[in-house]
Amino acid sequence: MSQELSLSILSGKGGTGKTTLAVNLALALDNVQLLDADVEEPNDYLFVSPKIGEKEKESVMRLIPEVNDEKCTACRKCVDFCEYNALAMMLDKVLIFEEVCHSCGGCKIVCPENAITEKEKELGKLYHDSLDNLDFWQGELNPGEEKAVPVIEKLKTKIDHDKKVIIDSPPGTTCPTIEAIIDTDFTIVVTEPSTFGLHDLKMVVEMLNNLDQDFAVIINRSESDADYLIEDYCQENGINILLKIPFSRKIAELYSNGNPFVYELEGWEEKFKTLYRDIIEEALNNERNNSN
Amino acid sequence: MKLIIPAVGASNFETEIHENFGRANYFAVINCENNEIKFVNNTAANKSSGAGVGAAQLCADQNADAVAAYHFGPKAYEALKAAGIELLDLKEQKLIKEAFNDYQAGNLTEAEAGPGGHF
Repeated sequence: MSQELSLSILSGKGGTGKTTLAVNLALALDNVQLLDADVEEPNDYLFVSPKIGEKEKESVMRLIPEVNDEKCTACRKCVDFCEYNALAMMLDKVLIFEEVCHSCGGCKIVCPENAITEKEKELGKLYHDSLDNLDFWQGELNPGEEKAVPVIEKLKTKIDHDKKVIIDSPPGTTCPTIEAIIDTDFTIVVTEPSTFGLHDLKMVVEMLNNLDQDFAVIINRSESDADYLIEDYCQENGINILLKIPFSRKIAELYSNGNPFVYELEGWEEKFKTLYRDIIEEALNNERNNSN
Repeated sequence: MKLIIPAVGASNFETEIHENFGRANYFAVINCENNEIKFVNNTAANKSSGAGVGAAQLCADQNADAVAAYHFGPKAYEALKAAGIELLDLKEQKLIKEAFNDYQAGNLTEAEAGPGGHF
């Protein structure tokens, strides 16, 4: 392979084990770039760079409209145009709701009086830390902001294909999730053996199939008397399960203290290395099948 | 005076109040001078975002003097305030007529902006 593989890690709901997998896998490998794209609540830093807030950062800006009340004739064309109700006309004055604005610039174009200009507003931030063997990036959405996609887009400009790229995606099936996974070679879906876990896994699988995205499943909090929930579903649908991380008090305690368990529990570094080889094999197989 | 109340249907004073302002199906528009009621479709209800702002715009376009609801999100609150519309708090009332009677009797208190209700 001329480039390293890019991998995204995803789950149907929060709290399933994306961070656990992303961090421990990243730390088990060499020459890795870990990007935390779960920009509404990034937490990989707790395990790899707890002082990320003091590290190198840059702003992610977006444009929002500004109305010159002197020029505005209250024609309402901008309000009627805005699909997202980011503008309202109250007592002949345009109100702007910055949080719901999608920064499309349409209001500025439709204004016949040239009363609308755009100004920059900080939407979020990117943080960066260079560790031994690990290039770590984090996207973060500012409190009160609703649009995560532009932060993830900017984060993706930092991708270095000479490294093993691991993107920790936002959970679920929304636009930010899709933005985080869409350009990666392969996706790992983390799930747990519960009715909720299965329900949310199905949603994610439906999305991935719609996107023609190659993927495999990992079971977190695996328990022998519950795993059949996920195993039966995966078997029926031809989905490979590449790893099980056991439901273990020790792993939970390490997690709650911010310790990646790959460092603490014997055998896991090798398991994650094997997992990565399996992922590459799976990705190559799929590539071959797709080109046939 | 014109009072607007979010409604689940579009029939009469016996119609139930909708629990949500921005995502209500209809708005009951009541003319308090002659007790006439009409219903308008809430075109903002199905918007992916900004339903509260859209619903507030609709109330302003209907020239409402007051809006009564169980809950106003922060954006709807700001927009209605900017339009000079009085925001009133509903609690126990279930039907439009109960809210209207309490309004006529001066029993409704001013509402506060709540958290955004829809994610």
